[in-house]
Amino acid sequence: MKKGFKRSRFVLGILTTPAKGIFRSSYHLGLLAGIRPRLKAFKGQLKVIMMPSCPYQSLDQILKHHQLDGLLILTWRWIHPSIVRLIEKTRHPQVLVVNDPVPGLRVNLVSTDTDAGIRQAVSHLIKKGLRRIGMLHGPMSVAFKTGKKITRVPFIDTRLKREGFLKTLRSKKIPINQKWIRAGLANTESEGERVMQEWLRGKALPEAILCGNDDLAFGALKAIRKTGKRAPQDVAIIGFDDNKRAKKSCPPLTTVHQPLIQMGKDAVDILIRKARRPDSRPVHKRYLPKLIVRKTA
Amino acid sequence: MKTSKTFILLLALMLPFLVAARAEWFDGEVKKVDLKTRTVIISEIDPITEAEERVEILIDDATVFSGVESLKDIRQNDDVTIEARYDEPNDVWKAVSIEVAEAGA
Repeated sequence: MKKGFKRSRFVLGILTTPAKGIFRSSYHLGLLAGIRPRLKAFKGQLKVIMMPSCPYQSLDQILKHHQLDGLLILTWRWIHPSIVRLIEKTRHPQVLVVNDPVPGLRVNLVSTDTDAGIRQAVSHLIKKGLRRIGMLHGPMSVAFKTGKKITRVPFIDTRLKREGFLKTLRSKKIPINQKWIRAGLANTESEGERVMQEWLRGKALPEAILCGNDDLAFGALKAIRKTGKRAPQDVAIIGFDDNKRAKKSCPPLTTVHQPLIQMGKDAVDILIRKARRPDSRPVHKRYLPKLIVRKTA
Repeated sequence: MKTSKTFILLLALMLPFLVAARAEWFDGEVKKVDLKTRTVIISEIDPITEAEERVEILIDDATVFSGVESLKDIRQNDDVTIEARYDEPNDVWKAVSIEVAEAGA
C-alpha cells in the first residue's frame, strides 16, 4: 500500500487452484454468484489468488502480502499441498473454507451437509422400489508433483460422498456391491461417459446410480443413450449440484441441489463480521441440500 | 357439486401455468435440420462459461412457428429461440414454439 493512502474498502481474496478454467465450473460460478453481489453491496473488492506453489510460511503472510481483509479458500484440496497444510494448522479468524469439512479445522467454514443430500437421494430410490444401487464418484485423491516428489492429497468431497452413500445403504439395510461403486479419474462429463460405457459392457448393472456430481451424471446419461438404453427405465441416474444444465438435459436430471449462492453470500458476511470482531470464535455453518426430482430417477 | 365446479374452473385457469412451468427455453444456433425425423439440433453457448451444449428438439404439428412458416424454412446457422417440453414416453424435447431471429436475412 502506498504511504498516505488510507484503504477503507473491504478486500476479499479467493485462494484457489491455478487450474485452467477453474471459474468456468458451475460449482465456482454458483458460489461467485453469491459472493460478488454481496461484496458489491459492501463496496468491497475481490482479488483472485492462484498459487502454483507456496512461497509463504503462514496464511497471515498471504493476507498481508495481498493486503486482504478476508481470505476465502475454494477447492482447497486442489491447491498446493503446502498451502493445504497451512490451512489445516491455522486458526486465523479472517480465513474461511468452503466445503471439505475436515475434522479439527479451526477456521471459519461453510459446507454442504453431503450426508443429508446423499441420504435424500438414496431414500428416493428406495421409495421407488430400487435396491440395487451403485455409485459413480470422482477421484479419491489428488496427485501433486512437488519437485521430484509426488504428493497425494485426499479428495475430501469424494470421500464424504462415498462414505455417506455406504452409511445410508447400511442404515437402510440395502446390500452393498463393491462392483457397483466406481470412480472416474476426474469429476467430468467425459469421465462419467467413459466409466459408464465400461459399466454397460459388463453384466453387473445396478438399477440406479448415484453420481458424485452433475457432470459425471451427464456423461453417464450420454453413455446410456448411446447404447440404446434409457434412464430411468434401464438405470436410474441421480446427480449432485443441480447445475444450470440439469433441468435441460435429456432426460432432465434428478439431482441434489446445493445452495451455492447462499453459501457464497454468507461467506462474505462471515468474513466481514470477522474483520470487525477478530476475537470471536470460528463460524461453522452447514447447509441442507435438497433433492430435485426430475426425470432420470 | 359447487365445489367440483370451482375446482374444475381453478384447474382450467391454472393449466396454462402448469404447462408453462414444465417448459424450458433453449436459445442457440441451428446446427442441423432433419426433415425426415422432424428434428433440429441447436447449439447453446453458456455466456459465462462459453461451454457448448447441443440439444436435439423435435418439431411436431402442434409447434408454433414465428419468423418462418415451417421447419423447411429453418436453415443451418439460424439463431433460434425454442420453448420446449420434455416428452417422457419418447425421451425427447418437443418444441412448443420456435422463433427464428431475422429469418431470411
